[in-house]
Amino acid sequence: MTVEGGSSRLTVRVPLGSDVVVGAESGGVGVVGPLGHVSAVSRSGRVIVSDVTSADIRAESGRVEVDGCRGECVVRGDSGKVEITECGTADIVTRSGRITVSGVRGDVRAHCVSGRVEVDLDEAADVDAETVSGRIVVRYPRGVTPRRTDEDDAVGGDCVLHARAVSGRVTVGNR
Amino acid sequence: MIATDTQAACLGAILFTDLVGFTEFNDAVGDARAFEVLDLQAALAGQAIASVPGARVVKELGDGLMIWIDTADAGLSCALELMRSVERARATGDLPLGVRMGMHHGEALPRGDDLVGQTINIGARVADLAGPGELLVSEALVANCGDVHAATTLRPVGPVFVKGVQDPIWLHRVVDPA
Repeated sequence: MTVEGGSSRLTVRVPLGSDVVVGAESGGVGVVGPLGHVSAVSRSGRVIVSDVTSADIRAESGRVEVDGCRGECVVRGDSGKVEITECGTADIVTRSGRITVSGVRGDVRAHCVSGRVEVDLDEAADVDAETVSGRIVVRYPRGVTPRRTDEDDAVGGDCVLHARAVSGRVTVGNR
Repeated sequence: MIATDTQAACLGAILFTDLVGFTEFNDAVGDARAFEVLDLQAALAGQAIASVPGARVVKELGDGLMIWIDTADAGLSCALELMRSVERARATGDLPLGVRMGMHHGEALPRGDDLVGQTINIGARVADLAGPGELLVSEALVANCGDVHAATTLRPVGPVFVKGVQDPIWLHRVVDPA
């Protein structure tokens, strides 16, 4: 089923667990589950997604918030902040927007050019975090030690951390 | 001088690549290292299209490349090959930046060695929406691919409104079967 809206507010109700694809030229997009896979694209305006199986979200300038994505969560942003709370795996990229990921149960990939990347893990998981000139902060639960790929003598570890900043700073610690 | 005589439109696939964060990288490491990275991207692209008839690098666009391939199938093969070689170069640390890629299919008009037209404009916009290490393709590209790429996994990205184009363009994210 395809629904086309105009310039006014549009609300669509779908059966529980449906896959949803949303494209907006401008204005915010809100998707509230329980739903299956959600793809959402917005040129401007905030994108908010909650309680979905998996998500692919593209926002050129707006902020992105995901709360409750059981599987893979893919976000491509530009200047807006990206905030993920609770997801299976996270694959987040922005240009200058800040990335905040917490409550993740799987692996995390968080790349930005000049923004700040902040990853807060509840359990041991592999993290791939990159920035050119921004800052990276990764926090593990108490007792979890990552194997850092940027250290020549890296061995063992509960998980792998690839954190790279060309001219920025990387901070790794435990809560 | 650019030859501007009217030439027949050509049908094919346009692939745009872009080194993500290149300007900031250049600022951080200087021109010499940045130059090496540009060379490496060009070399990887050259290898990916070397054995494909009808494929050529049309031009370099700052930190990106514009590549034309005569068919959608061959275009997707080239893009996947380039994606893999970039990933290998990233894994070894040779390539410090990710490469994003976008593809579209349609007609373009030759203008000297260059190509112009809405197909080219849309292809560039598709690449803008990709993240590092990611290949996005338009529905038009997918529709013109044969069974060769039936095994390729496509994930829906959705309808994207492109500046200057009235109707939304449906995009897919390509997941490398390899």
